[in-house]
Amino acid sequence: MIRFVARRFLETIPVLFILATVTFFMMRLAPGGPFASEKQASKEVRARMDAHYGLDKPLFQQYLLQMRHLLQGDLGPSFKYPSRTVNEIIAQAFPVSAELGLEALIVALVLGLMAGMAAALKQNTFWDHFPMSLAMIGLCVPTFVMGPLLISVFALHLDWCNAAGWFLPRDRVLPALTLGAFYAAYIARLARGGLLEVLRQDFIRTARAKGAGAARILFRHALRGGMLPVVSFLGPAIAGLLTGSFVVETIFGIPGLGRYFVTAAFNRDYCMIMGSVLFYAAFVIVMNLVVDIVLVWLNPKLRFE
Amino acid sequence: MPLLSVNQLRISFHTRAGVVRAVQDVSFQIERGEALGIVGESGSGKSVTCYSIMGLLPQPPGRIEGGQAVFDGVDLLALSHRGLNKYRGLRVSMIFQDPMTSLNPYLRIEEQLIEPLLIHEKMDRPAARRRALEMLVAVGVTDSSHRLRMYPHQFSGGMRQRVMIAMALITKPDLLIADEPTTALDVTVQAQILDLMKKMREELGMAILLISHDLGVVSGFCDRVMVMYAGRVMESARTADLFYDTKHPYTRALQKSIPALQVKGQELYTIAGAPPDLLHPLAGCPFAPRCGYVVDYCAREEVAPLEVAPAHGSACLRVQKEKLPL
Repeated sequence: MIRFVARRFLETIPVLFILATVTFFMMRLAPGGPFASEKQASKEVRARMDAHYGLDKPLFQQYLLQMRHLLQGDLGPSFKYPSRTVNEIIAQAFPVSAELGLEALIVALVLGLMAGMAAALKQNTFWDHFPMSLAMIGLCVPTFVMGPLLISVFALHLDWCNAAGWFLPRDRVLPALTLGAFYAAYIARLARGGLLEVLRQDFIRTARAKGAGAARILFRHALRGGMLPVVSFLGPAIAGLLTGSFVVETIFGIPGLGRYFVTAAFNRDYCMIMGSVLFYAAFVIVMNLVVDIVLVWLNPKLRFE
Repeated sequence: MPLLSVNQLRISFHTRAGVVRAVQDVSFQIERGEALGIVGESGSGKSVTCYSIMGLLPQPPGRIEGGQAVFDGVDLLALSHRGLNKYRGLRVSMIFQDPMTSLNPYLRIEEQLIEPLLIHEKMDRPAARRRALEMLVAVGVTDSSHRLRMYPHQFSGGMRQRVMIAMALITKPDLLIADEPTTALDVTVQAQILDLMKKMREELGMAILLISHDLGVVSGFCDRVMVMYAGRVMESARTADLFYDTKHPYTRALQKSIPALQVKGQELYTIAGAPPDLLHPLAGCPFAPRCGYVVDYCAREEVAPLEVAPAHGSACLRVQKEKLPL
């Protein structure tokens, strides 16, 4: 097990290296630059800014320089927000996104698992069709529709909470619902499918023959196997949720990481782009590793291979 | 009073193509400690009969149209699942055809083995664990304390079936239903498992309902045998009577089909034709189209097993009316 984890960690090094390289050259291939939008700047000013950030050096030298900084864990300065480093921006905005993501994840897991379990246990009844119809809607309605819809109902008409902002605990409700809805729907469908698959296995019949009650069959015999698809999905899902959503953060005015990720690309904020790509990639890799460990723990057949 | 008395059981499956009459008016009894074999080809209704007793029939599409299964004075078919759970796994246990898929791959053998004790006898874990160890030793699993910690995929097929037997017998049930327990195993292991079941029966004294399509297995194991065909009972008798004083042409044809009893080098005897389509049941005897003794009224009159000799039932109309010698 330790060897497995250690090997997977070693494998992430080349992945991140290749990703950084590809990202670097793709950014530089894109037309424009970080200061292209500052129209008033004279040639001299532009040249001095380039020199300040090292953009006047040959490309390959810049590449080596950036790689050296990255190796030291220094993501570099932000070109768009002078006097702030990318490390500082991520350190400040990530906790906000992570909190929102965590709350959305709880929403997604609670709603999704309950709906999925009900649907699987009561297959082809109202308790299957109704939650699964809702899940279909959840999958189809994009967040930029879901957000304003929730705002207009719960903030404007019912006046239960604020339309935007990130100050009070109840400000968390609508963003978490908006962000979590899609994931809840997805989890519901995966949980239903996984459970149905397990519930028709022979060993469930064995458990019935032993006199096990419905709760025991579900929680002791079916849940482990039935949750495998959900757990596999949770790896990338958690990474996506915790690193922030541009749309949800914009709709609700939340100072999270998602907005920085997207605006960095528009601004050609080279270090910010690199920082966000690597941060997100590292997150996905770590979450997938965690998921693989959980899957091995859940499935004893994998444990001995 | 017999331990289990199944009366006029009728089961059908409601499929898109129509209603399949899987079991029609099946009746039989098992006394305490008795071993009854049910023999029949695939689709003859033998497994469905037993699944319905255990409440394991998938409903829908399955439907119990009528009849009773009275176990120790209680009709199991009339019980709710909750009520049934007081019997299955405690007083009636079951082992299945495929030991590779019948054990939960996600749980340790120990968890599965002690589950009936935890459910039914409210036993604490250490005590249940001791019983599980005893049972594993009794079914011939060596190195049992180590094996308890293992998972099903670390066991061979024969070992898994031993575990299934240990699990079914751990509560010392009055009745063990074995649904083709040796079919999925290779031949040497088959003999071992049958010997084990015999040994356990001698030790615990439970009744056994053994389902098989192998006449040889049944003849060496059971006190009485019931032959099923197309969802009906064709013949039932004490084992020796069934083989040496056969009272149904179908049973006779089955015996003639046993390869080991036929002259070597000749083409093997088979019963001509195919089993009837249960979607469109024929009038009269279901075996009539394939029967060598068929006469005109076979395809007209309703068949039902009658006692044609002491403790010997046959559903053959000619045997019933004319004492047809077979």
